[in-house]
Amino acid sequence: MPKPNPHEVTQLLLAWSEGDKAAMDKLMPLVYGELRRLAKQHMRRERAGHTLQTTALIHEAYLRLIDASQVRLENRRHFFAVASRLMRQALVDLARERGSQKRGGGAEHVSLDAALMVSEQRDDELLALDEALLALAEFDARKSQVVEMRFFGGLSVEETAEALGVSVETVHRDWRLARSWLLRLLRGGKPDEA
Amino acid sequence: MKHERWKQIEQLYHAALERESGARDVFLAQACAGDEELRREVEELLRYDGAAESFIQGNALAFEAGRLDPEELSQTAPQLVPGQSVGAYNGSGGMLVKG
Repeated sequence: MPKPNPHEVTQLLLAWSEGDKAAMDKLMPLVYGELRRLAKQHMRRERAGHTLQTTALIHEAYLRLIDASQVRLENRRHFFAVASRLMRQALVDLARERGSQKRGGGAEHVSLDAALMVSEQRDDELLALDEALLALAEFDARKSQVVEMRFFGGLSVEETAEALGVSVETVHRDWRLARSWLLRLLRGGKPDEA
Repeated sequence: MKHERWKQIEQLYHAALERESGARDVFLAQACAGDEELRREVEELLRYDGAAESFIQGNALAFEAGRLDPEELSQTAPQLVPGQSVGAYNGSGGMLVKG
């Protein structure tokens, strides 16, 4: 897929930040495609993941997609907030695709391979987290967003606070309660095994 | 969950955390004033508070990179031997929890 035109992406981001809701619909697939491509590339490059930083990847997407000279700081924050959502979607989609490939692809001969089992469990956990976040968003959208930005977007507490327009203290509190709530849901009421 | 109920839970959860763990039971008993369901809900969340410290502490991309399938791994990591554990998996349950 050819790289999206930075001028076009920048204009869409600016239009959206000025209230043009339709601009977001056009912006999302462009950013999504780029994030997905970068995520796959990075994952291949750095298997163990210890040095991987989502913020670095989103920053890379930002530099490739946006003409920074035309964009003010608050628009950069908007971009990071949107990118967190798209990153979540990209990773969840990739996990789902792998799941259906394995189910349909007769991977049985390697099913005892520890790496594959770990891989499948990770995908399942990621998909379960995604669903738990949807459940949380039904009654507390902001907490769900805080987790999305911190975990999927790799944003710091301070960056998350800025993007959401709330205090750092609020993000700390949201993050703490959201994690307890999510973990309880995912572990099915067994804290000792968490 | 109803918005009002959740706000109540949230407020009590943080208020309890500000107290010493030994003083939380008394505090919650008073604050919940006989609403056992509310008290149970807050207490359960508090029980997860410690465990949740290591939960989703990394970032999603690093987490996902640890689960590349063997085919992809063989292209990029020839040093990996079959059966070797991959990434941050700690073998003790939740892999979103850092080992």
